[in-house]
Amino acid sequence: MKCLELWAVGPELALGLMCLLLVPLAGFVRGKWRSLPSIVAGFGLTAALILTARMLPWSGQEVFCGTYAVDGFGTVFKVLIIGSALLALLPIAAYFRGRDAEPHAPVALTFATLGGVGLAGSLDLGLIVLFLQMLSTASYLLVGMTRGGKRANEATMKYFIYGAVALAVMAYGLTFLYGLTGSLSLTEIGMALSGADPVWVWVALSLVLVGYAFEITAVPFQFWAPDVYAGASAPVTGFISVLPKIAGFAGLLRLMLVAFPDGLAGWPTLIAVLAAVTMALGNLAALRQTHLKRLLAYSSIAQAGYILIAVAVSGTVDGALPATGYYLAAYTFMNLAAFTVVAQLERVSGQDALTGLRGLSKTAPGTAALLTLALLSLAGIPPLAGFLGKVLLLQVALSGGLTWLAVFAALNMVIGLYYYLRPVVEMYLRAPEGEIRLHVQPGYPWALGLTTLGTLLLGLWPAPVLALLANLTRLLR
Amino acid sequence: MTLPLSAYLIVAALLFGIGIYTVVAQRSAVMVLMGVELLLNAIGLNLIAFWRYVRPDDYSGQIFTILIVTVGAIEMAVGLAIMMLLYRNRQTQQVDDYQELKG
Repeated sequence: MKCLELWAVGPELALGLMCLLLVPLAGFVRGKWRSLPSIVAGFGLTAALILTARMLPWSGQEVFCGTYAVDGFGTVFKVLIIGSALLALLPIAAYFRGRDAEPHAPVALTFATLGGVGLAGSLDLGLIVLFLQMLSTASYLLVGMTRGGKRANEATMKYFIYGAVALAVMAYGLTFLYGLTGSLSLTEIGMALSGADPVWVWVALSLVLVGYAFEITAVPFQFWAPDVYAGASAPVTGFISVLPKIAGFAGLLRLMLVAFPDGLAGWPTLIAVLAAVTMALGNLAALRQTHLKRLLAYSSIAQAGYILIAVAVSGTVDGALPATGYYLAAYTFMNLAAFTVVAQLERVSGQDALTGLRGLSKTAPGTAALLTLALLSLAGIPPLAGFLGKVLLLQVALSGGLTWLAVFAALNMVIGLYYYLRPVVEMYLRAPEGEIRLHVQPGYPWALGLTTLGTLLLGLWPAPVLALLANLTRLLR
Repeated sequence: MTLPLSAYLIVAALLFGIGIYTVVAQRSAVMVLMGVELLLNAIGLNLIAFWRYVRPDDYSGQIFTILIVTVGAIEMAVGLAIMMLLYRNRQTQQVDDYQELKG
């Protein structure tokens, strides 16, 4: 039978089988067995990561009758997505230890991972809608799984309503792409779209961007992010600030480069303007935040703005795709490190105020140092990963002729320095208000160690990672 | 007599507009879910119209429509489960009662 190249979807099959195994398992486990789903998920994700890494050198081809791509671009993004899921699983498993949702959280996490992995390879409008829904629905549930607090309930409802509407608007835009070209395949749409009526192409483009802007928290569809990030429990916030964003960038880049070739409908300019507005709004709003999760939420909006710079020039500059990949990897490491520390604080005290950090450098000097490192990397201090990532982004902006955007981004990075240093000041310079206690579980040090190692290695020894990310330029189109 | 393609597209656009209005204006979370359902039906109508007028020889448009119906069912299942959870904790499903998270 043609069109059934199962060998090409090894990681997806492994993840899918694990999801199907985990659903009944999470319902049956009792007592000390309740941590079993997390362990199974950890092994399953590792297996999928190894299977994906094996596919890196493969040459690009379309499988399943041209609906699914196996290429360097998709494979690198799959590695990033599965790797970030694995890193996020550690604090999530540690945080939910002994809580009601302990067996269920890893199930939602693996479903979201499968959705993200599928999105990175989809070449067909139907598959894009399906995998985006899979990713988002599992994320809503993960937010809702937090202990029955009112804030988590509110966050779930907001996330669900914004998500459902944004993805419906996007699907409405996709129907116009189908109507204009008579095809659901991105490659065929790309060939036929340049002959279509430019007004309708522009309408379709702006509707489709709504869905991706929601996933990557770009202005003007970023409203949900601060509320949802603040209402969800900290490790879950870490997860939804990383994985849907990586998957969203993968889907956005593939759609733009394949279906809208040669900057059709002026999308590079549109994305460049979105990037500027997103980073400015994220940075300015972050300045006046008093709670860590909300501060990191606006910070993640600003970071999405920085990455959009590389998306804007991805059609013309060769280095843009590796720069995007590098920044997403760096962002994953530093953001997850910060949220792991917030999780340890929040699990005991139940809140995440900046003032709660006072005296952390005395009670837990190691944890304080690692949080400082993560924040400095987010701010872009050399020699950490965030610095080199920002340099790469500015470089591709300059070679793509977007000098104004590069200057604007550099100014924004200076503003960012202020609010990233505020938690550091609270930790080291202010007198403690009371005793600080951290939640202790073996998952936290592992997560912190791995993410910090990643931040340092990416910054100090970037050559192997950049060589790996060069595969991103092998995109089927 | 056959209707032109634009007639179907206008009806779909109207449905879509009503859906967006419902989502924005309704204060009850269940009615917001109804609005989302209208949005999905507008997408389905658009797809079927495009399939019939642009590519009647190729059935992939129909498959996409079935996919959208499936997505709608999933969304309602998850949405109603979330509303149930909210109602159990707060005894209200009016969206205006949920404004703790701000800033």
